[in-house]
Amino acid sequence: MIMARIDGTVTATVKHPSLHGFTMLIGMQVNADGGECGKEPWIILDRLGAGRGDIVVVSSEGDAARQLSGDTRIPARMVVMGIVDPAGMKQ
Amino acid sequence: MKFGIVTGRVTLSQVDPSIADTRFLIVEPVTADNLAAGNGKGGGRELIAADQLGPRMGQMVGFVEGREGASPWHPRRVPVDAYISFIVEGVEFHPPARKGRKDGQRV
Repeated sequence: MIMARIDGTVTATVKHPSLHGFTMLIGMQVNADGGECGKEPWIILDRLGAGRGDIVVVSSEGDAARQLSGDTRIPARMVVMGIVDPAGMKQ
Repeated sequence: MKFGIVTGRVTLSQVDPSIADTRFLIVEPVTADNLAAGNGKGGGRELIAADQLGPRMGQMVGFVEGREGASPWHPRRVPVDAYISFIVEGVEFHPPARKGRKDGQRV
């Protein structure tokens, strides 16, 4: 799993049918100190209601997407598993 | 998934029979700076992705890399590791300001 900062959203009508019912967020991967790592943003599926500015924990392995969607054919890997409590980060 | 710009199409004269009816597009991943600038440019290292949606040249798509690229064929096993999952309609992307980003980029 990785951490990402949510910086936006993306919409699409032409998409693989398994993606219906998910919000698609745009996130930049971050370190525990909040610093960005990686040049390319991730598109992350969400059903928890994460929003812009939130730090989220993202499963980067496809089985989470398959479980949440109930669709073994889903062509996606990144799924929000939790929203980080701003007061709850320990290092 | 990541963002990509469709920059071309690959036609194959010989192909594995399991994916003979699949279209293969050239996709250039979009960097955060280009996405924030909304300039239609990619900037990443291009790759080949299987496609069943039919985006036009220059259009932005979302693609997945890795084993999940073959998921749409499940339970068939196909030699595909990148797949176009959707065609982008609208993007709202406003990362916080960072040193080194150019003016005019709402970043």
